[in-house]
This record gives sequence, structure tokens and C-alpha cells, in this order.
Amino acid sequence: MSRLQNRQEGIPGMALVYGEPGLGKTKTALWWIAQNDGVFIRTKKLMTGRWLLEEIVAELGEAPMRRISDLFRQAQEQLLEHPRTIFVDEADYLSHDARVLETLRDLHDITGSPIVLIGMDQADKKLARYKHLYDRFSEIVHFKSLTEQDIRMIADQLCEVALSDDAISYIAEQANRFRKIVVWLYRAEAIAKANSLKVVSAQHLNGASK
Amino acid sequence: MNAQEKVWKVIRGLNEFSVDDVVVLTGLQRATVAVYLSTLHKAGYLRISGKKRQQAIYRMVKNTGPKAPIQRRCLYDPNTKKLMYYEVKEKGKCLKSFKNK
Repeated sequence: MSRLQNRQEGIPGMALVYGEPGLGKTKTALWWIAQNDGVFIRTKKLMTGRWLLEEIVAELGEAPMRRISDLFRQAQEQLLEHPRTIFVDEADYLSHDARVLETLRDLHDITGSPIVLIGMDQADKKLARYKHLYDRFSEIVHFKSLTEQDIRMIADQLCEVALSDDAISYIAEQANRFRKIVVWLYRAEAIAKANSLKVVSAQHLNGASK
Repeated sequence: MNAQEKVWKVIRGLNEFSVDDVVVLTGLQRATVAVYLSTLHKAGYLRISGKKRQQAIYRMVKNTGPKAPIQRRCLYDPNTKKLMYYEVKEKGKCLKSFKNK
């Protein structure tokens, strides 16, 4: 998770972020947008190139025009004026339509604005079919299950009580998705409160789940 | 970006969210987020779709556009250019404060 955050800063180019559902891809993107500036587009199954462009133009703060050439020009002008990162969520939906992807690539080539595609697992394989597009990706980030290190980081940020190392490894064994880990952290906090503990260890967590 | 713009941006990307979700993603004060979300709820932008751990789970039902509704005394939406929520006796004051927008 932090890799994307650190790398993201100011890198031009297109990036692909993919991984299983529930690992926090979308949330990371939103987190980034809240800290910096960016545009978040959620694609839909039926999305065509025009629809996507309309959405982008609207998000950039203009009223979309009617003709598709105008739409493209609007998006282009807005991005040249104020470069912003565009996040395209659920990009899998676009992978069957080469023209939509090419449009994004064109937009990127002309404006230099970073474009980040977010997709499910296997999205890299789906997109690998489009060689010239695939070459454009300067970053390909595979979201993997969280490691103990990541969990430690999340715990330090979110959890009000300290967790011992074995508690962290215990959580890592039980859960590998962000949502589930947060549930475990809540549990740890509750245990600490109930037993007025400062540090929660694996033993406590184990006892709680039985 | 100010706090309200941050919150608006984040919640437009989420399906369902609680105050805590938004706090984590924006890094803002909990109270700031809670007040803004509850105003959006009163103005009909959000619906409460459930409860979890005594917290409301919100769902966006009126996504008017990229600009964040501005909350001062009342709530003004720069996308639709309308006052969306106000205390009746303060309507006049509100209209005045947004007139030059």
C-alpha cells in the first residue's frame, strides 16, 4: 500500500494497479486524491469511449459538449491547464474495448497527465494483450495480501492500544484483507478496554475469538 | 483543497461509508467530518443504509457533481447553484452570503 503512495508523487506516465478485491486499491486511490488533487472515475460495464470522456470532462469541472471531438478537446485543454492525475477504477470493464483504452493513452500522450488504471486480479493479463499500451505503463503495482509489516503500520495508525509482535502475526494469520484487519483491530481495542491493558498480545486475541 | 472538498471527493468514490472510513482516508478531525456528513444527510445527499457499531453507514444518493457542497450556516451546492438546506429563519442571511458566488 505504501509503495504506491510513495511512488505516486509526481511520476508522469501511466500506471496499473491491480489485485484481489478487498485489499484497499480503491481506498488507497481515494486517500491519495484527498491528500493531493486528482480525479476519480468509476467505470461501468457499458461504458463507451464517449461516455468515459463525458465523465472525465464533467469531473474536470466543465459542461460536456455534444460532439466527441469536442469532448476530447475539452478534456485535453483542462488537463493541459491544470494537470491532474486521473484514476480509473474498475478498469477491467474497459479491457475488452481497445478503442477506449487507446483514448486514454492518447489523452495521456498529449497532456502528460498521469493516468492510473485500477483493476481486479488478472487485469495485467487482460491488458497485456494491448502491447503498445502495456509498454506505456511506467508502474505496475500488484496489490498483494498485507504482510505483517503492513499490518503493523496500519495498527500504529489506527489502533489506540499497542499490539505486541505476536499479536500482529496472529492477525496476519487470521486475516489478510484490509477490512478484516480493521475488524481485528477493533477487537483488540475492545479487549484492552475491558481488561484495562496497555499492550494486547496474541493470547488475548486468541482467547477472544473462542 | 479544504476539508469539505476532501470529504466530498472521497465519499463520491465510495459506495457505503461510515464517519470513521472517511476520517481514515482524509486524515481530518472526526468532528469536522461528522458534522459535514450529517448536514449532507439532512439535505438529502446521503441515505443511512444501516448501522454498524452504533455508527451510521451512509450511502450517496444525490451525486450532483465534482464541486463540493459548501456548508457555512446552511448548505449551498455549486453544481446545481441551489441552497440545499437551511434553518428557516436564516434563509435571508444565507442567500446573501452566497449571492456573490
